[in-house]
Amino acid sequence: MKALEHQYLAKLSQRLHDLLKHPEKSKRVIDRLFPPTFKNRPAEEAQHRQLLGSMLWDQRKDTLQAFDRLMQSTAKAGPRNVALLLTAADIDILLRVTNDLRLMTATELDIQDNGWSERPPERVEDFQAYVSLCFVSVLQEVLLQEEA
Amino acid sequence: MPVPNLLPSPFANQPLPVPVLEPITESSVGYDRGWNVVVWDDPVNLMSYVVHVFQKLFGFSKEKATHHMLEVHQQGRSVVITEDREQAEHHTSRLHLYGLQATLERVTSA
Repeated sequence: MKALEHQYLAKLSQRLHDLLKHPEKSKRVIDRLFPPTFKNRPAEEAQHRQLLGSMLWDQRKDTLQAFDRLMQSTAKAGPRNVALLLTAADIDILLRVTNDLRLMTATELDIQDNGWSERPPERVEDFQAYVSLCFVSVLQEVLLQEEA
Repeated sequence: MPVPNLLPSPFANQPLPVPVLEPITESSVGYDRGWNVVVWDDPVNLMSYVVHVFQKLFGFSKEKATHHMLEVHQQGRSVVITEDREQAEHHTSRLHLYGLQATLERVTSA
């Protein structure tokens, strides 16, 4: 992996940390990361969240912390590259976090349909988020190929 | 010892009322056919990632995982497993941790 890509990924994951620490910053992203289990059954949904909500929240934070540790365990591989030695469990962590990063960015971009990858955003201010989404998508695809 | 009053009451010769019984149905006794774990279409999750998650969480073969992924993609939803409520909630929570949109719905037909 290029050192710049590694830095960028670490920076992007900090945004997810920040969001989990301050969920009030983006209710839409939090709702996407923690969707309802019972559709149109508010009483059961409330009971479910009361029982499992904090555990799911903690598990997501734990995965993100494991991701941080992985990102810090890189070795230099040449002047511009870093190397990550990954186990199957590590790849699973990377896949989950890159997916959360994709969901976060796509929700912020208000992506609603499957054609997003062929249609760059119209607003200039969305372009950086769009590039982030494309970058993490490619990374996730590479990880999936490695895992297979 | 007091003697019980066994004298016939004014209603003794009248027929007893017959209660009208409602038919017993599965819903009236709370019989649970189980809960479907439904995965919904999402424009963001990669198809290859969804296949990976189905294989990982449910132990599906690549073919079965791909079948469910395509069902989600083309029909908007797929029932990936049916379990009792506790197990179904567990599966749904794990799907959420992997970023998939999943809900539970009660099985209503045979």
